[in-house]
Amino acid sequence: MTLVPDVASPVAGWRVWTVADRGRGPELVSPVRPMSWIHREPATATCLEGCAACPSVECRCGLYATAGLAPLVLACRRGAAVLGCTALWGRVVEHTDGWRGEHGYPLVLFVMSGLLLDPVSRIRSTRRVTSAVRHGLPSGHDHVTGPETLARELARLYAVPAHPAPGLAADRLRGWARSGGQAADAVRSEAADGLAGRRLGDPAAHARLARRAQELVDAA
Amino acid sequence: MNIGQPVRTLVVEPIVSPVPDGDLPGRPAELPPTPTTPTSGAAAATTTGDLDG
Repeated sequence: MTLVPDVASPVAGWRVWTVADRGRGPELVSPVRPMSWIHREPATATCLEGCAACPSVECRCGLYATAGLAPLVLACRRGAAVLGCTALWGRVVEHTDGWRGEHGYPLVLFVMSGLLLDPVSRIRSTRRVTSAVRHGLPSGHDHVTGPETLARELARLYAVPAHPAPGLAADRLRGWARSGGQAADAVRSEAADGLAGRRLGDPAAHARLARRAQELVDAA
Repeated sequence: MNIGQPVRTLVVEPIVSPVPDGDLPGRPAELPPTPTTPTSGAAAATTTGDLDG
């Protein structure tokens, strides 16, 4: 049976990631479950309980995204420091305060301080930087050095805009949740509405999202 | 993460894929070059005749 689509543009919601280095450069990883969001590939949800159609209404499976920023503060206390607006599509369960989706891909990213790399990634990153410096080469994935470098790398690898947002992630999120609601809504709306324009290389669509993102960075 | 109570299930099929297909930001999609209009036989004959004359 073919399902008739209800919506022709992706759902856009907020989520946070931590970062891991598994030899392909920095990758976004779910803070709850060790699932990587691979560069330039859709992330696809799987159900540990064995749901045939994931996500299902009865289960808690799926890729999560929230409508507002307040529910994400707790995840940042656990070491997640990349906030992003993600597209969700395929089968999507709508909740009162967010969504659970079948497929996902980031639309825009904000890199903050306070990132906790898992131990293996930390060793890999440090070794790569040390080795590169020893041989006089550019260190490449030296994302241990700060949000600016990591934002540049993520933008290049995922081909989406990524903005450094100085400050500790948990503090940033708390500030945005308190007073940046309108700016966050504007980013979420523009990230979804301007997707077609950005894919076609429309500079006005890129500029609109960059302006909204900067307003959010300045809001906290 | 608490996202409240489930409301409904949607089937979302974006017209434009959110995943970049190898395109890079700042590099617009390119249209194929416009084919040149073929010269009609009569025009070609006239041109040839002028040259011969």
